[in-house]
Amino acid sequence: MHVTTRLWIWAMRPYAAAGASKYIVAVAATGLALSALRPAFERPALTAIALILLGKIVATFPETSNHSLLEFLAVALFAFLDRRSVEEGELLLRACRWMVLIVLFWSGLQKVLYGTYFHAQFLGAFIAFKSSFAQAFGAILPVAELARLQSLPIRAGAGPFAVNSLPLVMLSNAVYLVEMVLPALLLWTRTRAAAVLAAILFTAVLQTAAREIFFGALFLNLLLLFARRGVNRRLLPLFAMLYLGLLMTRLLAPGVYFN
Amino acid sequence: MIAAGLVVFALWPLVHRVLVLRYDISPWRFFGWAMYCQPKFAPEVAIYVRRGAERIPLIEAAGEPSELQRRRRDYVRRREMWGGLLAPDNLGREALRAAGDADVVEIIVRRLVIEPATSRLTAREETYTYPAAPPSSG
Repeated sequence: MHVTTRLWIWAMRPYAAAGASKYIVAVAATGLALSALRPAFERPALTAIALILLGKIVATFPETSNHSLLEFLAVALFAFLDRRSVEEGELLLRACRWMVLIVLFWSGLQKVLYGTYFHAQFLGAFIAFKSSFAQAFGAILPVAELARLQSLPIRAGAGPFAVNSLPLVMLSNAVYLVEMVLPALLLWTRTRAAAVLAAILFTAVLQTAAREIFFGALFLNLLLLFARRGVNRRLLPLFAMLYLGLLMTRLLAPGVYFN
Repeated sequence: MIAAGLVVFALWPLVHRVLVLRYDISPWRFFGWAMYCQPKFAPEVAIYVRRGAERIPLIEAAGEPSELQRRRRDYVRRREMWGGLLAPDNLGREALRAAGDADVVEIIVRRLVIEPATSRLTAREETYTYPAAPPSSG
């Protein structure tokens, strides 16, 4: 569902390369995804989808989004390992979980290494230059501080982008702390259930604010692998509605930005 | 094999960080999970020509033909991704052609980043020089 919806939305983008062949790719992926519903065709179909995704990564490299790699690896793992086998099913689950932990931890550590979250400099810059961030975070800023940030030009010496707002600075520091601590809490069985809920809430809020809806949906699905077995399946209708909503939004309101 | 893949997956972001530091590749690409660490500003590319002691922008010296404009746009797009791993050699050669009698073409690539210590935008610059080929003797 995730892959086919994303491929259709990619196909509908007027500026993406490859012209009409994008629609052929989207149709092929849809057919493969439907055939994967039959157990006998599941792994061959997933293998083919993985190859399509790999082809897309190669064709768009280096402009490929990081999300595309995670998407490809998840599909490739499901194609490569037999989820119905006890041994391989367990390995599949652990591999997907480890990918989540690695992505979460490195997302936080990179923010520490770049040093742009301690004084909310990155958020300050994005609030200054991106209306979506100003809408999402501007409400917790004093009016004068928001106005100051939005008056800053894009040129050498401009700034400071450090935000003069304790709530936003605390939020900024909480982002990388949560990203770095959650993996440990997800690993430890005693804290796993609470960590799953926290991670889901965190991901949903952050990715919605950033309008990275597809990445958020993929990551939520992967996070749910830490929950009790079968939760993903039970939440399938909810995800189906989300993907349908995204497709309809792109069709009916192409000016609405999301990724 | 899965374990080996996960080890690579886990260690790659460290390599990515080094490549960003050393070559200024895009933190947003190449699977380093460093999106949302630095704003994404397109690099600026300024082309100058030198004739003797004089140094003037190419656009003033010789205008900028459409082919050169196309190559500049293409280079900016690719430079944003590859950083210093991608020198503007093709652009330099095209600029020398456009500049005609220039001694040297100088290309300055500038990218804005947030400097954490000052919380201000700072420009990272790299200069490339392309001397005109000497006239062939005989």
